[in-house]
Amino acid sequence: MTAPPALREALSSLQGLLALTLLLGDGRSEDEVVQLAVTAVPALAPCRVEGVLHAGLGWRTTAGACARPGSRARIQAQLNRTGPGGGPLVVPERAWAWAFVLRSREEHLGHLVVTADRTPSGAELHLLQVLVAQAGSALASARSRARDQAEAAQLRATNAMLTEAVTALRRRTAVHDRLLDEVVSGAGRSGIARALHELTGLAATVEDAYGNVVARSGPQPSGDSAGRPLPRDRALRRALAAGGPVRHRGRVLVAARRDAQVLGVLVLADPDGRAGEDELAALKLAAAVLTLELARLQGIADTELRLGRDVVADLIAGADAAGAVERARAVGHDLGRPHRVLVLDGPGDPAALLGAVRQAVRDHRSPLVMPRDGGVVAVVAVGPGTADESGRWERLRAATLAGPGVRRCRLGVGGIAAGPADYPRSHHEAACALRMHDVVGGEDRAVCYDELGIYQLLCEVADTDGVARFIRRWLGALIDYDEARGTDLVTTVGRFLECGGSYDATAAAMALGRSTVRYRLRRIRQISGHDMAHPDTRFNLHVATRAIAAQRATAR
Amino acid sequence: MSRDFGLPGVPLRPGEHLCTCYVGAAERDAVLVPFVEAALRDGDRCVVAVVEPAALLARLDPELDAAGCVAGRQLVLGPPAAARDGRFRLDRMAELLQEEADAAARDGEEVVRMAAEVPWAGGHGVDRRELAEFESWAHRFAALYGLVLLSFYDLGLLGGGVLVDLVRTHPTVLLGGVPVHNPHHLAPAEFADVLS
Repeated sequence: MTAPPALREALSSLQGLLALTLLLGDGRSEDEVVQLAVTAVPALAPCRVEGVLHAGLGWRTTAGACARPGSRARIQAQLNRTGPGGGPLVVPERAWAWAFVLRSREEHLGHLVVTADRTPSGAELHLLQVLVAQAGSALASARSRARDQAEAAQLRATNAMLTEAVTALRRRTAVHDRLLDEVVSGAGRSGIARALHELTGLAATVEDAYGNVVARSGPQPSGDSAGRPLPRDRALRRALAAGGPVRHRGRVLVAARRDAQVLGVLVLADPDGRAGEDELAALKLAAAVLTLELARLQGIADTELRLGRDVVADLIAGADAAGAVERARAVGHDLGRPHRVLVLDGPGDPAALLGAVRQAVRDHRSPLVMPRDGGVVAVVAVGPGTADESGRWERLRAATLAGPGVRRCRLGVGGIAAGPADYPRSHHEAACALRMHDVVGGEDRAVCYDELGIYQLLCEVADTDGVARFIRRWLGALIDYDEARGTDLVTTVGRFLECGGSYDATAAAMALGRSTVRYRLRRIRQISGHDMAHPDTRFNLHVATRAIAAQRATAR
Repeated sequence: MSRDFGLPGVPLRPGEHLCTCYVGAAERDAVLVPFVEAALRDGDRCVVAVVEPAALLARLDPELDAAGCVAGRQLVLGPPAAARDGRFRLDRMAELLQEEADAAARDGEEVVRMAAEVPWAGGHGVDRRELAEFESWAHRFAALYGLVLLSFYDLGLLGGGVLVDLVRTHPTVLLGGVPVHNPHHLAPAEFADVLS
């Protein structure tokens, strides 16, 4: 037997509400819960929802009276006075209005403002109350779930960050270990360049403080940036200001520095801009390791320099010769073997010259060098044969010139020092040879004291007044004439005698015409009264011209 | 005799209509995709009217060669019917389904399965009386043609009131794939009285 329609209608409404309850409880979001509940109201009772006020969030749904700010404010004032069970409202032009409370057991969630053109029946009101209660419960669940999800998301994000940090740390530890392995194994700067290339896949270069490439690994890229020299000043300034790697014309570079002192530069060739965070981190770490390595090398160099300086200073001063010999032996030098003292000078940075000489004279032992008067004094061993010694000194000078920051270099070579007592003399001779440089040569070159000839005597003469008198005796008239007339007769007679009395050779050497030379020599004979055809006269004049050159060189 | 139409626990027979309620495309597809795939496996013609036919096609089992089924008209796939102004119209939907049922009959199809999404999109609201009339028509239409018809309602778009009304007027409603039974459901005329 079928139930009466009214009963079935009531039962069906309950079934519908039950289905809606199932739907609300099925993990809906807050917005979905509110939307489903609001839209279900007209199906359960002849009512409509005019507003939803969320606790702490304000009005989320408004229609009718709640859509008008003035009446909404008045309704909200009534809601504030409503108890936890809700209650009637006064809404203009509505026969019936009710505030339903959205709440869970723990918290107040808001209000549902429902109106109707007639008062709902008790059954209809009951359906609405059940709907709102279920909606409140679902809303609380949704809110709790949202909080849980937010916390879970936060945890996931934190976990992801931690995982990423651990991975990055492991990666950097591996990079660090790899670089340190190279240094510990003694591979030094080459090892650092190799490790950096292998870690990044990019060509790596180590430059010293002067921009010279000291190590390189990996194929250098072709193209514009590869061939061009690094504009160091600007790029380095940027790197120093940044305190880390900077990109510059297809390269990434970082300075290895101790305080303000740049010890070297690490460069990655990156024409395609592939270097990412990992590559830059590896570069930075490599720069730190390179700094340690370069600082270590510089420490060794400083010690060597100090040691060498002390030994050389004592040797050339003739002080504590025995101690100097012992200290030299400690660094591998046997001063019992023949040595020579060298004196080098040149314009420019004395430190650059010192560094270049250290490299040029370096063998497997610490070099014995010291800075002095803007130049450098070095003590070097002499091999058993001396046939090619002048060639050796030229090669040494050339090697010095190849050093960074050295543009010119003159070298004076002292005589053999067979024992400690000979070093002051050898040093004196080297200094003499250096002073005679302009006299015997002209262009920068290595000058050996042993090859100075008559100049050796002239350098060593203690009675300089006697030499001056000799010069006046033979060249006085010409010197006076030159000074009075601004002529160059002393130089001419000297060059004529150096050229063996050849007019042509003298003219070529002085870039003069042959007739000019003949004229000058005629004037020289007239003024000086010397007959240069006489062998004794020629000899004395020759000695006098060399003596005046030596005097001038010594005076400098 | 009932058959498995891809809806486990929901026995259906040819000539029956079932409305399905859900919130969001994922819940819809949880019912719609197995229903369509079962039809393709069984070799039945399946007429589907959904808002995004291409998206549905992409979700079907690739082994079923859904594109080939479309080409061979085993799967007739298109959007829900709309009037010239672009608004969804239930009467146009009814016409569309009837045309497809007639075509299937002409083609000698024994069992036809139909799925129709009822979007009422565009914020035009739900006309409860029109909805009741469409559902009543769908019952008669399924019985007349001996086909299985599922109508789909997205409560996220249409609201919770549609669920209440559908439960009131149907012996069984699928809610998120779960059958909700109402032995006390109202006949169309009775529901019309309630609305009036």
